[in-house]
Amino acid sequence: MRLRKLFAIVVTGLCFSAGAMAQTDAGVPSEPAASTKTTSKATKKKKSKSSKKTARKSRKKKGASSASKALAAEPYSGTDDGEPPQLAHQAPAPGIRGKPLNVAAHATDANGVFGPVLYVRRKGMGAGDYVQLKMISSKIVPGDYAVDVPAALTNVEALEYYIEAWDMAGNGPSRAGSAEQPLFVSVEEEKRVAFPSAPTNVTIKPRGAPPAITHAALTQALRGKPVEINARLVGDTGVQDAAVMFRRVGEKDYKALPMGNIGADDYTATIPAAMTTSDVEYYVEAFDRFGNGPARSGSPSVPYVLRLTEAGPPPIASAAPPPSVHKRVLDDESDTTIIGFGIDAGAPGGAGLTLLVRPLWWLRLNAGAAYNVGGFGFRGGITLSPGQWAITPTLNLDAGRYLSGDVNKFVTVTDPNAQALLSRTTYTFATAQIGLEFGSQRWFSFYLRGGVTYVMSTLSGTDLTALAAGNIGAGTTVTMGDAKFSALAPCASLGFNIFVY
Amino acid sequence: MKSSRVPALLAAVLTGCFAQLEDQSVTLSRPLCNGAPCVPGNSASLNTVLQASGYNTIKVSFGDQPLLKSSNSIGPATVTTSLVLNQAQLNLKPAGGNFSQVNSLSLLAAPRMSNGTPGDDPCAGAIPACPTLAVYTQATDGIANQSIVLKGNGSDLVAVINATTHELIIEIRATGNAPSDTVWDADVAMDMALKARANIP
Repeated sequence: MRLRKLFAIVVTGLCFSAGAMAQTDAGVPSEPAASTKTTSKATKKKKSKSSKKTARKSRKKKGASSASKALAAEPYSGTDDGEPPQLAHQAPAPGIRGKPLNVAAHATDANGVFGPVLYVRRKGMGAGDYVQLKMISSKIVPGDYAVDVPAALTNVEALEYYIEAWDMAGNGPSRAGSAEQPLFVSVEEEKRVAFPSAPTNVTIKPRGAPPAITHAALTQALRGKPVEINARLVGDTGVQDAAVMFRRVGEKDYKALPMGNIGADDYTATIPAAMTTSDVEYYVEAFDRFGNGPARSGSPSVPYVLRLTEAGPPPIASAAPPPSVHKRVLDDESDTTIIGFGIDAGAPGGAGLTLLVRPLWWLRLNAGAAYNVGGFGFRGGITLSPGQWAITPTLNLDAGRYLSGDVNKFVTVTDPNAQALLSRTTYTFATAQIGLEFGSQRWFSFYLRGGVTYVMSTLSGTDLTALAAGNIGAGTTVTMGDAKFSALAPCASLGFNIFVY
Repeated sequence: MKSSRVPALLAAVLTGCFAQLEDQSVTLSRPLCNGAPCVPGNSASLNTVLQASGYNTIKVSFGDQPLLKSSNSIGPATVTTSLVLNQAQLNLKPAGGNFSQVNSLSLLAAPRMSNGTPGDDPCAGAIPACPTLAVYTQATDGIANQSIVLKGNGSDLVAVINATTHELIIEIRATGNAPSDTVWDADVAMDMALKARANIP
């Protein structure tokens, strides 16, 4: 998981760097070609070093004007009429929450239209929070442009937006609304029409189904630091418009934070540090590609609450998140805790106190002390955990050795030679168990296991000789070599694991 | 996994459960004579002197060992035991003599002790025939010196140990001549492999 995240971060950083360089190149259109090259190279070197840190910021700052700069980078070869495009826009009908919202405009210009670009944000967000959406020209009606605002952005009560357009000569922008005075469109709950019940049972199955969300709810994070939220989204009909919906405690509207795929079924989004000034409520939602959904982990009415502290541990997943209709993983962030300890007891293995180390999310190593009333020993093993759910099956393989053991505590014998033999019962064992673990594998889990144990012990020839000599007939001497005792027996155990770091 | 397979899997696991004790070297030893050397020598016919003195049979007591039963139920477990004779050995006493004139030597599980009458052979005409436990043949095993090593033939001694008295009577049959000493003695040692296994259930 760490490698995958690191890879994703590196790739993301490279993409941002490339994007920043591309914008830098486009930002010097008026200089001669030779000087542009020189400047671009110099700029590239400087920018590439700092691009990872500043890519997001520069995108926002340059976002509103990037289209015009990109246009200016390519000299216009036709006749410039000096006029910006004619832009007409009719406010769309109120949108439906959780559904894409179509916004259309009509733009014409003698030099041709570049754009238009729709800038949209949730109502109440800052000027820097507009999301750019390039409008697509109609293939039927010249001059008509439209774009769908993604469903992930429409889970609010209202949207604010404006539209900008340039002509191909760089004149513009023409605007419908503006960043300071945006247009407004309300978003309503979908009206459900109640149909009278049919006389016969007819089941119409929608195509596809919402994705299943597995998410370890975060309960604690550092104030003023970005908070990464991860989820695993699995859908037979794909995943679309995955988003973290969040708000500060006390705020009414949620803000949408699109989640990016970081490989396989894993998605992530980071709440910016600027938003983590006070406690945050959030939930995760996603649709499939047919618009089925939203599937949610948490909900608008029962969101996860992320407590922000001045200092303390990294984000902690909740052991008992709010109920959800979706199958939920409690250990999505399991790779963030790797060290813990476990306590268990069982028969015939006895009890153990072990140190746990998790090098991989599906693999745990344990080593520690063992005690079986008769004596002490040591043991170690591995646990394979193929999934990370609230109830997780496991395969456990252990081996160890009891260094001392007095079996006389369990059996009553009168022969002193037998007592001597039983007082030195050391043995080596290996155990294979399957089990179920309940709870969060990231923090605390309780488990039940059952399986078989193989025991090997060497009995002292001296002790055996003494024991046999006591029963042997007169005139006969007996000498016994070391004997090997082995057994395969059922075993069961229960215990719990606590990961602390 | 179908639910019907779970009990089958559990049964398979439990059926394979066992406990086992193995000792590859259990050695029992006892002399022919109780005390000073007692068997006539003088290079006489070995079989004759053994029969005449009644030393052609020895009784080995294994004691009341719980494992020394071919099949024994302990709780839900059934214990099966085997005590296989690896080899036997006759070690001549006193030192100095040798068994070089012995042509062959056999140990048999006898039904009774010899009565000491010359020519008394408990295994002669015994029904069923006395099983042979170990054999020495000079022609194949070489000339013996102070010790004669008899190769075991894999017999399970548990089957021939008296279940009541826990004793095994061994008859010694020989061809060739006794040591040249006037009287002699020998320790009869049996090296066995013990294996007791309890299958659960």
